[in-house]
Amino acid sequence: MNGTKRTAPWPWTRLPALLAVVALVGAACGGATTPAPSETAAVTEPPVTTEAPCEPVEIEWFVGLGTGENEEQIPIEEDVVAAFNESQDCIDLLLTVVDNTEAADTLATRLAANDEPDIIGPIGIRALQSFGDQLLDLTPYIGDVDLSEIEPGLVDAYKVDGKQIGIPMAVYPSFIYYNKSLFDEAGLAYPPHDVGEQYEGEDWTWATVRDLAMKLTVDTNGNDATSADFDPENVDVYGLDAQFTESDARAWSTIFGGSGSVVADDGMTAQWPDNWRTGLQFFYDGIWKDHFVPNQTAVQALAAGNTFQSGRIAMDVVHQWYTCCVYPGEGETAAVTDWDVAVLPVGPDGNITSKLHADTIGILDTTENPDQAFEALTFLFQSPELIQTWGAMPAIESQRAAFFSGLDERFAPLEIDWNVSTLMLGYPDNPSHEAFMPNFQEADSANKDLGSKLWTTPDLDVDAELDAQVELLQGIFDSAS
Amino acid sequence: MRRFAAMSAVTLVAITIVSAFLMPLAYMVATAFKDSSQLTAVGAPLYPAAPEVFVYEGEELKVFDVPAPDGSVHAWALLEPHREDAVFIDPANADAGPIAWVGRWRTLQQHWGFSLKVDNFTAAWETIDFPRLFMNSFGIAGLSTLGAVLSAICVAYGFSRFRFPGRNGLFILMLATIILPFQVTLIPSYAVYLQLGWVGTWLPLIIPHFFSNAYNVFLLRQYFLTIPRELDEAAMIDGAGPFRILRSVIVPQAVPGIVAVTLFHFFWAWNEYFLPLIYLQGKPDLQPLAVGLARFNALYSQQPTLIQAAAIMAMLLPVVVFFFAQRAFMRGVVFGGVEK
Amino acid sequence: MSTTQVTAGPVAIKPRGRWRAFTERESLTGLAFVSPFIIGFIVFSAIPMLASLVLSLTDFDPREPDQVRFIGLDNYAQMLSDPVLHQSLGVTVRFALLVVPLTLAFALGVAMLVNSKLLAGRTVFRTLFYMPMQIPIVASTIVWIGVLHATTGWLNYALEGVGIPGPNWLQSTFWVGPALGLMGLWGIGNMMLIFLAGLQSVPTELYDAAKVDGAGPWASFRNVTLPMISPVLFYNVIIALIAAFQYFTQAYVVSNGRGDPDRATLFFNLDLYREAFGFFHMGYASAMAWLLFVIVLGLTIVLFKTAGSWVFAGGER
Repeated sequence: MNGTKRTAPWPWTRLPALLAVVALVGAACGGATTPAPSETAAVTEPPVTTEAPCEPVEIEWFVGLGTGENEEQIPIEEDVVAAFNESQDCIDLLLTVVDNTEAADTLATRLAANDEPDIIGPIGIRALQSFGDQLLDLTPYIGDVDLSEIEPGLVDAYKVDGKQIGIPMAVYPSFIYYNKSLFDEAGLAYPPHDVGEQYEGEDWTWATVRDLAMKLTVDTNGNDATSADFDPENVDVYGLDAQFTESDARAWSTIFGGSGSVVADDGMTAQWPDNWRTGLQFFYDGIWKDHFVPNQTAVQALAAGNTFQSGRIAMDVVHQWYTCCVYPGEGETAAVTDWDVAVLPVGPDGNITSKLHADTIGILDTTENPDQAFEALTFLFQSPELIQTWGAMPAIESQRAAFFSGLDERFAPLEIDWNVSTLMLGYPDNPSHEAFMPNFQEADSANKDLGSKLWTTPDLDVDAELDAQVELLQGIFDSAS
Repeated sequence: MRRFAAMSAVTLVAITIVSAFLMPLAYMVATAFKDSSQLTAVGAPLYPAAPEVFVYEGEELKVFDVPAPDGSVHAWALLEPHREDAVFIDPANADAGPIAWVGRWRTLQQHWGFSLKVDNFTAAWETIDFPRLFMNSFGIAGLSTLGAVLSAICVAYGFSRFRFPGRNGLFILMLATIILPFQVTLIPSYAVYLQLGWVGTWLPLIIPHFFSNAYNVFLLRQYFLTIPRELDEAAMIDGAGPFRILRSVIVPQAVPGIVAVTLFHFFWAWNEYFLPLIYLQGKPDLQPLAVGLARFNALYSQQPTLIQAAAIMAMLLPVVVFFFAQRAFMRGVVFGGVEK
Repeated sequence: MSTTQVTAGPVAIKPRGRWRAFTERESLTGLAFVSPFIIGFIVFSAIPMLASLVLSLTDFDPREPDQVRFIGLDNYAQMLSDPVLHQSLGVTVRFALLVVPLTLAFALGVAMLVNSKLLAGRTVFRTLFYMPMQIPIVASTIVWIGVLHATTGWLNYALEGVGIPGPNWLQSTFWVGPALGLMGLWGIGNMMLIFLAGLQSVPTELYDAAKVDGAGPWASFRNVTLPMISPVLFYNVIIALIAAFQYFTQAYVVSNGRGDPDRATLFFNLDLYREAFGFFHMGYASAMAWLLFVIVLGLTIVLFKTAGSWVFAGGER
């Protein structure tokens, strides 16, 4: 045997050297962080004030818990941050944008590792419940802000246990978006735009809405939901939906039942109030008995949840921020071309209830520079560019006219009746459908489980399900530490 | 001839299986070329298509096959839909004015024409700065793979060819690192990397792999075990030391296994999502494709057509790499290392 | 084991001395080769693993890291009476029992198919079967959600085309498991590759010898192929088992992180994730992780111990 014959050897001898080079290159490439989108070398204008020059303090702004992480929004946010940094020397604002789906995890990870950002937002009421305990009390600063034009009820909504954890920045009442083309095709009159206005001689209640919705719901053969030949398996248009509620039973109960709470006044007992039971039953029957509301399978097929955009929903109860998404992206064909907004009907409790979302920017209490954080925060939430890109309806009344004209420009030549929005702002849900519950995350999850079950399972006894839910919630409340 | 028949049969079976297997891929490609309105339109074809339209007085009207009372069928444009009747325009004779028709327009067959929406690809490309993300993915995956393969070869060699105290225990320990769910080591790991100053860089994604990774080592060890010791012994007789044995006996024999490990570590790193997301948050210039793609999947503005277009573009490089890397499999094995 | 040393002829290898000396230095050499792992483990794995073990004995809430309290084995006690956890464990085990053998068999079958000399265009087929592995997992899960949709999904169109009414794959508590299994079949690319590597290294002489002895294709598969690829088969079994118990991402995307419908997709890791990042019970989640660890490690060790009897390792000592 002469020795081993082998296939052409790989140049292993040269590898250690190569390895070292690669490791160095890798470290160099990976180690170079992108420069913070801030500091220009010098201020563009000569300083006019006699302020002593200050050491720039870094304030990190964490976006993703609410809106603000869409593709179109990020460049605008970056520009605003850059402009802020250029306009003053003392604060170096740093923007971090994380996807909404991972924002809470990412923030929790960072908090756990003591690597906290300074300000977080825009953040809604529900997300606030997750991190409420970690927010700074803004009471010392609130004197500096002119709150006269913000409804006191809203300011109070952000006071938890005596701690003012946010200043309402944006408000989003809910109302009915309706597809005028579908109404025209069905030969039906448009829903009312004014509180107290009747619809075709009937009071505007959920019962009236149901009748209207059933006429609007039509299958692929042209039969509407009032007809005996209606085929629920092949529906073309649904009369009513309440999209983007993330299968939250509290949200549906509020929309169709009015304000309520799962927590009794003693703060510890679980309940499901009667008006909520009525509301939820209405919604459930709408899906499974009368078929004018799409179930989860149908919703999935309708633009993956953005049902109104598909052009196959006649009326949809959604919030003001939905103006972001009525049309698909640029270059895509819009299925909805003629739409407007209408007021909500009177609920079983005798009131109109427009469930409200509100956004704020909060400061984490672990921040090392609360003053600067507050300064940055005030700048941000008054920035007209940010408000526009977030579709944020300003909490400050005098700013609203500008906001609505911005929308009018965007949706021209349609003339949307934004007065509806202002009207609905006067009927917020109180308590909020996102209000505090003991052991909030678990209770919230349990409510979504219930919603999901109702959304996917026919032939349920809603009352029995709700009784079971109350028991479940009681157990969850009791185990709150 | 018999061989030809056998080959045809096998190839036919393979084609059938692979077609069924890749059906979702066809769905993916079809979706990537569609306009999003086609995804929700009733009765839309499965292939990318656009509704045939006729422009009348500045509006785009959809064209349907309409049966006239006399029994003939016409291709007319729908001007005014109602429930039990409709008004059409005849594209061929628009000046004749609107045609009233009694019936339910929803039961009519709509005209769709095959149409590829290539814009989805350009939109995806521009929206997420595709070239940069691509280079990032390539960099992260490439460096990580280099380290992983080199170290895996050494460590697997150690485990498969040598006896040393604690060998089995150490091997189990190595496996233990992949058994523990990452959600719970995430926070302590993050804290460690934060202390090292590596958060916000590629380092947490690359450096650990230079110290080998259980999947790769395990696989290569199994593979090395299939190489007969006689080859080692032959080389030892010739006076080769352990490192030389590794280089000139084991590695050439293990090429298929090494190529497998290289490829699948590369593709795993190429598509890794969660860890790059955590460590590179707020640094879009450093993020890989997998993280960039997720931007099309925001909860309130899902854009399935764009995400599929982007995903197709993202997978092109790996597919090409794989296609050419297969030749390494072809090199195969010369049995016993001895030429016959 | 010859003790004579043959000086090298035309082969340019410098004689290093009697190889018998290696026997004494074997441990050191072995450890030297394994050292990258040891170092990496100490630096990157040991600390996080130990930390998570310690966390499992606390009530750690990531939002308030400084307020952590030591609670001993309370988390572990709680696991015994947590019905959701038991349910998720059941979901995971049933899934593992169903999907692991299925995907292994399918992967091996496909590997043998694309290894066959009777297949025209093997390179193309290999690439095609491997392609799904190269699609980012979130995108591919979204594709499957579209394909599996009850009314607009292509799978049900195809089934209806042959007269079978397609179920509501993703909303039915019964069918969602098989639906996920179907998705799992798309992930056989790596297993196929590994089986291929194994198949390629089976010496052709053995097949020739078997044929000479009159063995048919099945006998030759059982007596030549399976034993010769048993080390890589072993690898695939272990890895598939670990993957099945760690199943997370697809369940998460399909059910929007909720485990719907009705907890049928609440896999153990998804429940863990919910506890850790949904409810911020990181201490409890850590305990869950270690429970999973013990289970899977136990299974792995059992497999290793029994490996001796069915895994043929030509190069093992």
